[in-house]
Amino acid sequence: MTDIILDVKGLYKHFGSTCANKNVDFSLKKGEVRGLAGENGSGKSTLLSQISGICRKDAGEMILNGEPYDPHSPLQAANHKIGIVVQELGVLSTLPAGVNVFAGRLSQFTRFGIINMSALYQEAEKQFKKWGLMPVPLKKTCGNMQIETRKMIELARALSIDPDLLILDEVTQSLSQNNRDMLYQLIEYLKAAGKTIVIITHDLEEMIRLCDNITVLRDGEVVGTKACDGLEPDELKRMMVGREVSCAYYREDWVPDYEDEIVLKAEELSVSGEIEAVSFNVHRGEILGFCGLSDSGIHTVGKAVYGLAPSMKGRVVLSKKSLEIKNAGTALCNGMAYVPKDRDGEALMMQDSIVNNFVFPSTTSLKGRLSFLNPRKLRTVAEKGIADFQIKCSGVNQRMDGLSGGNKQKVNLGRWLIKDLDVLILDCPTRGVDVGVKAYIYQLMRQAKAQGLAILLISDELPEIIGMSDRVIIMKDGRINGEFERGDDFIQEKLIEVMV
Amino acid sequence: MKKERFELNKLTPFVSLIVMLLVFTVLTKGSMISPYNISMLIDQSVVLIIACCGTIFVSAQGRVDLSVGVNCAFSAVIGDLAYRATGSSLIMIVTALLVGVGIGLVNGMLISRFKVPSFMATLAILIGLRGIVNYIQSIASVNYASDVIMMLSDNQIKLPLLILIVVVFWYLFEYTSLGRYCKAIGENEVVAYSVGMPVGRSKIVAYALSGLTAAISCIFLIARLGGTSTTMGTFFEMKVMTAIYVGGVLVRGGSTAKMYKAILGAFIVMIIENGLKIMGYASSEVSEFVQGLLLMVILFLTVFFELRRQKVKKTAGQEA
Amino acid sequence: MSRRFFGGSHKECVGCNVTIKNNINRGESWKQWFFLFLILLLIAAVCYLFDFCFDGKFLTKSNLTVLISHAIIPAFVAWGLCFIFACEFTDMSIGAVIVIAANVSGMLGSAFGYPGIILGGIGTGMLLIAFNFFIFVKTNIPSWIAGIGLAMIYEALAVLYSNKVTQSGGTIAQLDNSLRLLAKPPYIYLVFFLGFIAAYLIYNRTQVGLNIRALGSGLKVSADLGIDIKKTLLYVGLICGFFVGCSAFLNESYNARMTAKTGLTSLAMIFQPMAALMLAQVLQSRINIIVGIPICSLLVYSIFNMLTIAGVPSGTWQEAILGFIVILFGVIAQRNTKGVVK
Repeated sequence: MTDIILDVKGLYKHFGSTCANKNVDFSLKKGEVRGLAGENGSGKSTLLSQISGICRKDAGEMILNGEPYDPHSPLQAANHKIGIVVQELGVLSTLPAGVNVFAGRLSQFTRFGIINMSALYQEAEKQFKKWGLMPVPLKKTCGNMQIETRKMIELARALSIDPDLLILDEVTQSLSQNNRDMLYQLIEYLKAAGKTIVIITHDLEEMIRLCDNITVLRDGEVVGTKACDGLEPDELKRMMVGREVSCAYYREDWVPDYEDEIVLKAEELSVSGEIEAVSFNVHRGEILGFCGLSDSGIHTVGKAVYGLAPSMKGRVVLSKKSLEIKNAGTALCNGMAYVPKDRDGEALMMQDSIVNNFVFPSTTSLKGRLSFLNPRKLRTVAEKGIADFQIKCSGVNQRMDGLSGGNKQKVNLGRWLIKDLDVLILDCPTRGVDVGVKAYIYQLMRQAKAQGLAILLISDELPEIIGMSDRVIIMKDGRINGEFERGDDFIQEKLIEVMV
Repeated sequence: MKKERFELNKLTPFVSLIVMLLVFTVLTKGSMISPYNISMLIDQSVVLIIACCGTIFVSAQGRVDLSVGVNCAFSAVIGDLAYRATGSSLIMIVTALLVGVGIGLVNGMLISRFKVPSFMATLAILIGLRGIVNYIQSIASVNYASDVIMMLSDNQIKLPLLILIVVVFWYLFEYTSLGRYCKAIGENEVVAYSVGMPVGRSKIVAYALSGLTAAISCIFLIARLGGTSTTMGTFFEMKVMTAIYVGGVLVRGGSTAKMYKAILGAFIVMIIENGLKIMGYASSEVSEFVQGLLLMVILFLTVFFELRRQKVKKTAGQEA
Repeated sequence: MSRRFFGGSHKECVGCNVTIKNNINRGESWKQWFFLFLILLLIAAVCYLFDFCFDGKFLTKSNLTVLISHAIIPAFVAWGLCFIFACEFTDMSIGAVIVIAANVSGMLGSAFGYPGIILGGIGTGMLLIAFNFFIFVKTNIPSWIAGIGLAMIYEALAVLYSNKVTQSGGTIAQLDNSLRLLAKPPYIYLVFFLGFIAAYLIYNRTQVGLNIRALGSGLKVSADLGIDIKKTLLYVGLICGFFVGCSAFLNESYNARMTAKTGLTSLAMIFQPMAALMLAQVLQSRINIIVGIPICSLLVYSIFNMLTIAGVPSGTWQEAILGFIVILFGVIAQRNTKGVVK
C-alpha cells in the first residue's frame, strides 16, 4: 500500500485543434491539500473535469488507489468516493434543494418504488449539520436561490458521499466571509481525517495559505509543483505566466494618454442584483479598463452601457449629441459597438456565412434606395474585411463554425471596426484565442485608440488590464471599489488588494 | 465535400419538385402533365404561394404561424360583412386586409411582448377565431362574391397580380434589412438582440406580414370559390407550413429560409394534392395522412443532415 | 377574482411537498393548506353568486355531478401533460391519441367487458405516446411540430379505420350502457382518486418522477448527475400515455362512442387540459401542481358550464373564449420568463 491516492500519467485532452492538456503527470497523496494554479485557459479545469468524469480523457492513464480509473460520469466518480464542486456542474434548478443533495443516488431512500421524502430531508439536514454548512431551505426548488446557497447545496452533495478526494473549483469566490471561514475549517478537518483535497482559486494568497503543495499549469502542461512553505505569490505568478510575459504586445508607455473630451457619461447605473450606482466618464482616445472577480458585475456594466439591460436605472449619455442611450438600437445607430464575452452564443451567428455575420452591424448604413441591400456590395465589404483583418477562411460564404476561435474573434471585432465608431465596448476580447491573435487584437485596440475611439475594456485578466488601459476601475460586489490611473501604482498587487 | 453539401441544400427543392412531378406523372399515367391539369395546378397554387410569401418571414425566425388558415377565413367573413353593409368591393378588400394585419399584430404582440410560445399562441387564436367564424356563418347566410372580386379568378388579372405580390415580398425578404433581421433572429436571437437589432419590432412585423398575405390569399380564395364557405381555410395553415419545410427551410429558420424554397415547396404540396386527387384519393384523410407523413419525413431528413453536418464540423475542426 | 389568484406568487420558490410535515417548514405547510382553503372558498362564492344570478340552475345536484365528471376527464390529460411540460417537451398529438385509444377501449370493452375497456384505453395510450417520445428522441425534430405531424397521421388513420368499418356495414365501437359505469358516480370518483394517488406519487415520490423534473433544468446538467436521458424520456411517454389512456376510456365510457375527424380538429382537445395545467403552473408556488390540476380543471370547466347555462352557444363563442383563456393563462404563466421563446 502506498500513500498515493490518485496518480495521473501522460494525460492528453484535445478540444478540436486546441490541446487543453498535454502529457500531464499529476499525483496526489492521501491527506494532502493541493492547489492548482494557472492562467485562464491553462487547462486546470480540464484536468479536474477528466478526474471528475465530466469529460473523458483522450490518452494517458489515471490510477486511483492502485487501480485503473476511467470515469464516464460524475456519478461514477462519486461511486469512487470522489466529491466534486466544479463550475460545469450546477444544481438541478427545477428540483428541491434536499433532492439535489442526493441527485442520482436516490435509491437509498426508495422502498417499493416510492421515495421516503421525510427520510431524505432528514438525511440531507443531517449532512448539513455534520459538515457545519450554512443551512438552506431544503424543500424549496433551487431555481431562484442565490449562488452562495447553490454552492452550499453542491458542497453538501459532494460531501454526502464521504469523499476520499474532494475537488473544489473556484468555490470560495462566490462565498461570503463567514462561509469561507467555514470552508477553511472544513478543509482542516478533512485533511486531519486523511482525506485529499484539490483546490482551484484565483486568490493566490488564499491558495498558498490553504495548500500543502501547488501545481502550476501553463498552456495545458504541468510547469512544476512547489511546496507552499515559504512560497511567495510572485514566484507562483512567474511560473504561471512563464516566459511569454514579454511586454511586447502590451503598451510600453506608463502614462495615461487621452484627450480631455468626454465621449460617454454613465450616471448611477444600477441593475438590481448585479450592479449598483456605477458612474464613470470615458474620454476620447482612452482605454478604460474594468476589472473584478467574475461575479463583481463588470460584465453587466458593458451590457448596461450598450442599452442591453432593460431594467436598468440611471443614465448613459453620449456627450457629443447629448443623447441618452436607452436601448441597444440607439447605441447601434450612434457609433457605439459592443463585443460580448460569449462570442459563440451572443455575438456571432455560428451557422450563418461569414458575409452575413460581417455586415450584420452595418446593415443600416449599407442600404441604398428603397432600403435595398445589394448582395454584391455586402460581399465587397466582407471581402475587404477579410483582407484587412487577415481572416483565414475559404471565402465569404463559409460558415462561421468552420473558423478557428481566433478568426471568429477577428470577424467579431472587424465587423465593428469598419464602422464609424465613437465608443467600443470590449468584454473579454481575448478569451479563448491563441497568443498570436491576442497580440493582433491588442494592436487593433491601439490603432482604434489612436483614431480617437473611447474603449471600455472589460476583463478578468489583470495583466491585460494593466497592459492596455489608461485608467482602470475596480469593481467588487456590483460597486466601484477603486480607480487607478496608469502610472506607478499600476501593479497587480495593488489592484488585487482592491478587488478582493 | 463542404461545398457539395452546401449546394445540396440549395438544390433540394428543385430536385424534390422534379421527383414529385415525375412520380405523379407515372402514377397518373401522364394526366398529371396534361396542359389542362398544369393550368389547374398553377391556378390552385396561387392562394398557397401568396400565403407562403408572408409566412416565410415568421418561419425564418424559427417560429410558426398556425393561424394562417383561420385568419384567411376570418378576414373573408368580416370582409363579407363589410360588403353587405356598404356594397363596395373596395371597402370589402380593405377591411379584409386590415383584419388580417390586425390578427397578425395580435399574434406578434403575444409572441414578442408576452413571450407566449408561438405555436401555442397561434393555435389558441386558431381555435378561438374558428369559433367566431362559425358563429358569424351560422347567423349570416352564405354570400356570393361580387363581380369585382370575381374578376380575380381571371388568369389575366390573377397571374400578373400574383407575380407582383411575389416580387414585392421577395424583395422585402431577400434584399432589405427586415428580411435580414428575421433570418438573424432565426439564426440566434440573442445575437440579434445584443448587436442592437429591433428584435421585438421585427417579430411583430413578420406576423403582420403573415396576416396580410393570409388576407390577400382569402380574397383570391373567394374569387376561386365564388363566395365564402364554412370550411374555408381549414387545414390551410398546415399546407403553408408543409410547403415551407418541404422546400428545405429548417424549423430553426435562419439563413436557410429562402423565398424560392417556399414557392417551390408550395408547388410540391399542390402537386401531391392534385396527384392524389387524380388517382382517386380525394378524401381528406388520405391527403392528411400523406401530408403528415411527408412532414415527418422531411423534418427528419433536414434535422438529420443538419446534425450530421454539425458533427462533421465539430470533429474536423475547432475548439468546443 | 384573478387578482387574488395571481397576485403575490412571483419570485417565490416552489414548495415541494404539501403533506410531509417538516420541523423547519411546518408553518409553510399550513400556509399552503390555508391558501387552498381560500381558493376553494372563493370558487364557492363565485359559484354561489352565479347560481343566484341564473335562478339556481348552476348549483343543482345533477349539474354539479355533470360538472365534476366533466372536470375529471381533462384532469387526467392535464396530469399527463404536466409530466411532458416538466421536461420542457410538448406533444400536440394527445388529442388524436385519445380518439384512437377511446376507440380501442370501446372495441375491446365490447368484447371483454371492463378489463378490455381499461386495458384497451391505457395500453393504447401508453403505446402511442411512448412511440411519440421514441420519435422525438430518435429524430431530434422539435417536439411541438413532430407532435403536429403525428397528430395528422393518427387522425387520418382513425378516420380511415372508421370509414372502412362503416363501409363494410359495421358500426364504430360503441359501448353498451351496462359497460359505461366507469364514467358515472361513484365509480368515476374512485378512478379519479386512484389516478390522483398515482400522479401524486409518481410526480413527487419516485425516482422517475424526480428525474423527469430534473430534465427541466437542462439536459447537460441532468446527464452529468447520472440521469439516463433517453430512458427517462421514454418513461415520460409511458407515464403520460397512462394518464391519457385513462382519460380515453373515461371519455369512451362517458360518451359511449368517439368519432374521428380530420383537419387537425383533435388539437383542440388538449386545450381545456392545457388551460387547466397552465393555471396550475401559475399556482404552483402555493399548491403542489398535481393537487392544483383537478382544482383548475374544475374551475376551467365551470366557466364553460356557466357559459352554457348563460346561453352562450358552444362550438362558436365558447371556442372563442377557450382560445382567449389559453392565451391569457399562457401570458400569465410566461410572465417571468427570460430568454428566447420560440
